Amino acid sequence: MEISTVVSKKHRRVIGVSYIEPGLPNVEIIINGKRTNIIEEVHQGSSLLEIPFNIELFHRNQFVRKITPLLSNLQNLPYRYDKVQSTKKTIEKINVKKLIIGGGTAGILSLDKETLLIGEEIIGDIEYDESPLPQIERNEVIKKLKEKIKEFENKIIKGIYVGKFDEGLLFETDSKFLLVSAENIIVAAGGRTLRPIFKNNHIQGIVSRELYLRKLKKKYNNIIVLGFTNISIRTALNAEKSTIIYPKGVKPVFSKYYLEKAEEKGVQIVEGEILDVKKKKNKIKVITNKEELNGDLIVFSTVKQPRVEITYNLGLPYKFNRTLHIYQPQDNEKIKIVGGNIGLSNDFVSILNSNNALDLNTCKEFDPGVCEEYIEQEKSPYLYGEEGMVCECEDLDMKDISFALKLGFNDPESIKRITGLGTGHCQGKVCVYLVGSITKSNTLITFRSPLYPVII
Amino acid sequence: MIIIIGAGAHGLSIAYHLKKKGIKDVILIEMKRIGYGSSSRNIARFRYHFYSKENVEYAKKAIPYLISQAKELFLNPAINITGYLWVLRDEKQIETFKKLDSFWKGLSIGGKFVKCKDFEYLNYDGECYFAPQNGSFHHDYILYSYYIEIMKDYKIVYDEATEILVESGRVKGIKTSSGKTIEGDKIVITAGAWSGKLLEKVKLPNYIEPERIEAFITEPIKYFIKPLIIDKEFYFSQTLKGEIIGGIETRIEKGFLPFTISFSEMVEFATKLKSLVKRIEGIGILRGWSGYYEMTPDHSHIMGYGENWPEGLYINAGYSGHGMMFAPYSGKLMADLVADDRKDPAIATFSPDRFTKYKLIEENLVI
Repeated sequence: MEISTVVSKKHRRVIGVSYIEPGLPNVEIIINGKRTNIIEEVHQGSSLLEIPFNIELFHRNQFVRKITPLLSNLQNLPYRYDKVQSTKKTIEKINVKKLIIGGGTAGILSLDKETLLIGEEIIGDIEYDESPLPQIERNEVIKKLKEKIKEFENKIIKGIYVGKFDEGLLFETDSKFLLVSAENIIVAAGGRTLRPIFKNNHIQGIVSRELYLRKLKKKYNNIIVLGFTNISIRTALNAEKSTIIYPKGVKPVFSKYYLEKAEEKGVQIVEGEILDVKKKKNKIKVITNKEELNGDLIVFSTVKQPRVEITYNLGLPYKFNRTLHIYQPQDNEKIKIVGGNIGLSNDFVSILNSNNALDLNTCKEFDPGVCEEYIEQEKSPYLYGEEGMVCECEDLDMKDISFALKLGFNDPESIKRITGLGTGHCQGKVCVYLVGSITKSNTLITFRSPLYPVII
Repeated sequence: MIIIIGAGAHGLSIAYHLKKKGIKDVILIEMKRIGYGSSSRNIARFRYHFYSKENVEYAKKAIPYLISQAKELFLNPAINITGYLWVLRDEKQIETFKKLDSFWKGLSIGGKFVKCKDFEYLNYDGECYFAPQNGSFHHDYILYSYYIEIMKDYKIVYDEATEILVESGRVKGIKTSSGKTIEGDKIVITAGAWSGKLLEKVKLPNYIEPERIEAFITEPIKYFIKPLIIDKEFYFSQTLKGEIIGGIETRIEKGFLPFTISFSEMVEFATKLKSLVKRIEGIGILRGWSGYYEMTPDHSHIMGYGENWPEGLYINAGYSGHGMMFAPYSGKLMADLVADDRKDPAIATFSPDRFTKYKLIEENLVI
């Protein structure tokens, strides 16, 4: 399968697509007025002229300040948005006793007779990730999940959580807008991996673990995995041949179990600062401070960042985990959080958690750092180098973030106000967490409704 | 010590202008974060076209000052002259604008009647009124420019001012919700919609009432809608980043309501927008938020102090929907007043005493 590319908004540079999740940068773009999913329909962007844009120039260059209104025309933006070819969606209000948001392992296991489940994807990573799990058989788990899905067929709706509104929690399905009022909520919306930072991290051939597992695994045999946690190893175990790089100065957080599996399969784990990456035909070369590594694809699998924009939008606080550099939501009496949405990445641990049978030692052994912070990570595990793209939608680089940092702004909210970080199409679902980790900030931004563009 | 309550556009502008004068002892109290109130929730437009003569006269000084500041601000305020366009849907509206037009012409800010079709992207074949002098800016870049200039010299305390301490007719300081006492001989209230609550603390009438309003922003599209467009029940404009931003004008909810948004209002905004503007049938709403208009009885702002106020207490608030565009100039006038006791004539015009002397400045063009 070919990997799509797009032309970026401000630099007009060609960016390789990395994600598969709806609502993340460049999964869906507008081509000649038509909304197109470029994961399903391959698209190659081409740029005649790159523009040397940066935020410091925008703010501080007197000439640029004078011609600011004209600069708007240089941005790569759609000329029109054609009518979406479907019948108008109906609006329906429903009341439920218990609502589950998310259809992955943890969501499905939380189903019972009184519950309605709405999920964007029914059964998640476990269907695609073939890496071994401790103490359980993956196929057995999938079989059980499928049985449960069948049993509760009429309690499961495929849809996306759009956000909290005065009228209720808004979900969008293929045919409806649902406004749901629920007495109790279980959030099982999982997590995602985010594109780390290094020179030329925007080029084609650098993809997320989620995209790799779902679409690219069969074609690309030799991969370079970026990450410092169990899921980095698990990604690597899906490939015929793989090497894992964790960033220089970051303390890896691997379980003994997965380190052994990596060794059995001959997966190399190295520390490195990435100085550059280069693509040549179907190969990609990673130049680190120590060596040159060649592969077919770079797959980033740093850590699973829970979908905190969802829990925050529901009104829940979060805290910054200094071991894993993830933001973890905190639940209350009415809203419970389970599985990947807590930060758990291992299905075995997640199943125990869903069954209320998880003890601290098991969590520490198979999902280190999630239930207990045991080391402080001084350096952001997303920083493989000093430059690179940070915000894909607004086309901002590390250089732009540094401009704000140098002025004394050191949290995503104020950096957003200076640079426009997180104000683009994905509304900060990637870059805000990256900048949070880089600044070790306890706070992110206000994730406002709607969380995804709503077409009415 | 000068205490400024509220680090929004007005508080920061006063601080910035005080610093320019070389004043050393200034402290700001902020309840949440820089610009949390109306300064970071507005739609970042400026205009000369008000309903009252006083506001037009004020704008004629304030807007050129805002534009001239573009050169000295640290960040790029992205000032753009775009005009305002009113869509006139019926004879009554056309009559109103005929009167406004001659009023504005008399103040040398005349606009003109145009065919809406002159703006080819509009789906309306009728009369429009275009005021070309107005424009847009980037509110955060102005706000943060002020903040950047003062952050090293003035302390910002993140706390809520709960009491204003007065002794023998003079202000002495404030108390905060965390129990701190901060002493000061001059106190400036620039707490936006929350300013009225502080006046109540010193037994003064509360002239400022919040009215919640929702705003929405679409996915970006090539910049093609230059003016702010005001239709009968909604308004919108386009940012230089490409998003279309606006809201519904009809529903007014009073009081400190939560900053939530409603699905029905989002649907209404999107539907109205798409029926008026071409090429955007399939555009999505990207984000919504709400904020407060800070409403005085006549919808014009209050600045300075009242006759019977404790000595050393000042206010600059209550700008309904036009606070951001006036913040640079008002900050300058207020700094002159607070630091040098220099009283611009506008200070008397917009004094809170106008409510007891029945010299109201009726402002009916609240956008």
